[in-house]
Amino acid sequence: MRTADLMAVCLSRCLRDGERAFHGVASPLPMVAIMLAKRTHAPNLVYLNTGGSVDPQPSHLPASTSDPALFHNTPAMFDLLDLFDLSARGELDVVFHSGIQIDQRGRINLSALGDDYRRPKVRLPGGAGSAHLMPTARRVILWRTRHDRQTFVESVSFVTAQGNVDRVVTPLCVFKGLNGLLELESIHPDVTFSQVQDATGWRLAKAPATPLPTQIELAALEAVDPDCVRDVEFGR
Amino acid sequence: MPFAGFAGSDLPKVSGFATMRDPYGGGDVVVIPPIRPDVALIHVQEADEEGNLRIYGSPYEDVLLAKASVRVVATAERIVPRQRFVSQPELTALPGFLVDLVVEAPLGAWPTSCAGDYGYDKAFITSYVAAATTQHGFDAFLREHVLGR
Repeated sequence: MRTADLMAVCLSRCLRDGERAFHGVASPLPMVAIMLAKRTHAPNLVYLNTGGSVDPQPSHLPASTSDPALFHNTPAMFDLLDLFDLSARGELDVVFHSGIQIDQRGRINLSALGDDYRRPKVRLPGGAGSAHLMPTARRVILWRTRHDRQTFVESVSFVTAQGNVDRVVTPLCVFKGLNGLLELESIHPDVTFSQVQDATGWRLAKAPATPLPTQIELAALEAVDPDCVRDVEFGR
Repeated sequence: MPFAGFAGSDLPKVSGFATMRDPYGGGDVVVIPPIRPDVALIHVQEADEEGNLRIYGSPYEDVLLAKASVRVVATAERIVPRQRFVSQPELTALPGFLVDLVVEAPLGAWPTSCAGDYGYDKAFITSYVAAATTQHGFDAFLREHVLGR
């Protein structure tokens, strides 16, 4: 099982028919997951993105997720100002985010590593819209293609944003947000519990295996992303 | 101005943003001071000699940025006749009275993309990423491509 395929399928399963879902820049896996969901179980999903197109039908999926290609066959424009207002009104269902660090409470750090924000060990890119969107969107889906103890920490060194985390999808497992804490929901095929525990900075309880992608899901994935843009985040 | 987000974030604290009680009963709200840039530099596909600007594809936050700024300098792929704007004024992203300077600059967005005109130059950006991994490489890149010496 290819990890990129499995993560795309897991992310797509987080989406429900009729929802409004948004992804930002540098988000190939969420982009593929949204296209996959629309082709399988969620045909009426409303797809929104950083560039501001609405339900585009790109002729090819671009590696940059703010590419003008995402304006192909879009019937309307809904720019970031509109999107932020939509979320502020409580009308955005799903937003995809990630973090250089993600902690047990589902808080993300995209700002700075180290104890002193003014003099950080590493200055990170910044939170973009996350501090607005995480607390205001109905559900937040986090994903990260790296799962180790530098990434999944007990407590982030700086809270860029938090709130409403529903699922976290990694190369090893899926976490579910429950009462403000991330709990292990499922472990991917060919991964052991101790591998996940060793790569995670807090104590986990055992969980069942992630259901394998179906033939229908894999065929739809190939149809929406024949160029394997989903592999970009794995350095391929 | 009030801002709906920021709940649970450390950013208001390190940014010095105040929290107020919503006078209309909505609870606590973070309020942000205005950002008033001295100059906005934006690139568009079409401009006329009065500074009317047309943007194709996503405007991102360029229009907001321009309206917030004291002065606006626009670079444009093409200078077109005023009549083109008059024929469809609803497509004008920014009226000329808000624009201080227009510079005709074909390929002005390169190496990033300009919707309808060209895509991003992946090879060039990749070469920059490689060069920027060392100070020496970064300096050489800057000399060759930016400073032109």
